[in-house]
Amino acid sequence: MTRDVMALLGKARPADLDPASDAERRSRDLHNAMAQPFEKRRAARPKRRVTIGLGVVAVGAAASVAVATVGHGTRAPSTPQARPTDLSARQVLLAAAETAAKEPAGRYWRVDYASGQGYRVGGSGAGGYQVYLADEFDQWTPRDPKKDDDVTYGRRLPSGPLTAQDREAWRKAGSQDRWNVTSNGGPLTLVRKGEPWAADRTTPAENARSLADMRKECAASPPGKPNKVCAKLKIFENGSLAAGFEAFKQRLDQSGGGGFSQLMTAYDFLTRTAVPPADRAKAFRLLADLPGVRSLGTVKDASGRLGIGLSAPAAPMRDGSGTLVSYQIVLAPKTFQILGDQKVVVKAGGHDRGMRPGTVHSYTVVLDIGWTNASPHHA
Amino acid sequence: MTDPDRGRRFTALYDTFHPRVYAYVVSRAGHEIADEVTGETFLVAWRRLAEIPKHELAWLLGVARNILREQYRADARRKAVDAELRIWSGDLRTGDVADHVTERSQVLAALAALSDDDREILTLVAWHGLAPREAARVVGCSTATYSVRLHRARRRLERAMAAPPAPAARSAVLTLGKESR
Repeated sequence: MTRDVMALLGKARPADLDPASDAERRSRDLHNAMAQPFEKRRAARPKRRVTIGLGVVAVGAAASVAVATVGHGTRAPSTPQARPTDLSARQVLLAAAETAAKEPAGRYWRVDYASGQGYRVGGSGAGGYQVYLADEFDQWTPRDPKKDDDVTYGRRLPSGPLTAQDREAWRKAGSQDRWNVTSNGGPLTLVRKGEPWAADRTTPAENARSLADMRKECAASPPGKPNKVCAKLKIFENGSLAAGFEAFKQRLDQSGGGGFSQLMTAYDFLTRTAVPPADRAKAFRLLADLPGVRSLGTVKDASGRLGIGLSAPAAPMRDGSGTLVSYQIVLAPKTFQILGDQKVVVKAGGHDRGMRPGTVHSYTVVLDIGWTNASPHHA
Repeated sequence: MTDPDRGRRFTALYDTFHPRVYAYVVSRAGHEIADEVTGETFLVAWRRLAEIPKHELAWLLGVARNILREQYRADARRKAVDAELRIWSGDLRTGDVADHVTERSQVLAALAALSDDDREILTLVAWHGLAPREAARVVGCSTATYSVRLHRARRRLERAMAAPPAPAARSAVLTLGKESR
């Protein structure tokens, strides 16, 4: 038989492998992808490349975070007591705006935070538990990047269980110090061992050099044709601070509706950008007008501190699990300082199966935040 | 890359490759979950846009393959493809009994009798238009290894075609039997 079986197979290709054209699906797919909060986070801090990876924290994370909180600067918003909270989300956000407006700007906007991501290990049954991959970042963003260095310190924290219950399950399972999990569709190994601090520093001179390069590149581009470099340059020259708020407003408009990704975008903006106090206040006020954001009353953050929870309607994770999570921002009850954010499981699916409703899926815990005149350093 | 650039690049990527990723997923797991898995593949693509190499299709199919392997049970996936193969090879019942139609249903029935691995090796080249080098990237092996596997799978397909045609339902059972090893 001389017939080419591959050619035959090729000819037998079923026509209905090809999708029917579907404009609705296209717009849904594009929207879902581009509304993803993940990339926004990275995009929000393009210069900060601390080479310790994405994930998150925690050696017996509750313990380590609590210790870090206690041992950290005086600005760490601590809230030892619960206070009944009957303020609406709008009232809370307006109060936060008022506080933010009053905070005098210093040389640096500093935020020190731990950020963790939970993975289910040991199966979905009773013996399983959550283990968290966590990093700590200590970011010093200068108010005037022409004068001061932009510095980020980062370190990988040891991976491990977060809650007492999970620590118990972990012990029962043999106290392992290495876990294989699935992260964004790929395998990932977590280890119960941290990594030392790494620093990422951009000096004003480096800034000036890239600015000069950009000017050269922009000048060399054909006249009358706006290009990327010139647009970027304009933002730099106008001062990144003023541009910051406009960029935020734009991102907020681009974020998917329903409040979920808008609230995340806002959290990033409010914690990680050195914008003038008036702009921070404006950002809080913008949030107060967002439909879908509601107050949860008193909630616990991932390190066990009590605060006021603000949340948006739940949305499914886009990591293939389909796990339904609600997104929460936690504010300190009296000062309305940001304590952290978290995604909390509403209904687990895929590789998250076994995570009970209420499990923290991922979190950030703010250890220190605010304006300071100190020079960059970390404890 | 600025946001609008990113958006433009992603949209172009989606428009160019969506049909091909979709086709791959259908051939690996059937129609029912194709939209979902294809959508998820492009979610990952958005997130990792900056990391996507020059061979975009091979990369995208590799992502889809991972999603399928990790999120969906292999037996369920195969059952779904077997059902599709029954429909595809049963096309001859629609009345056209010309030679090429018979041959077509014959080769599809033979494909149904092969293992899941063999099916993938063969269809990446024959249906999805990948060169062995790209196909090797999708399944994560060297080009040389892929070529050897392709050669073997091809021999098995030939043998299956030479064998008396098994009723589609039986071939599905055979395939499942193989998979449970």
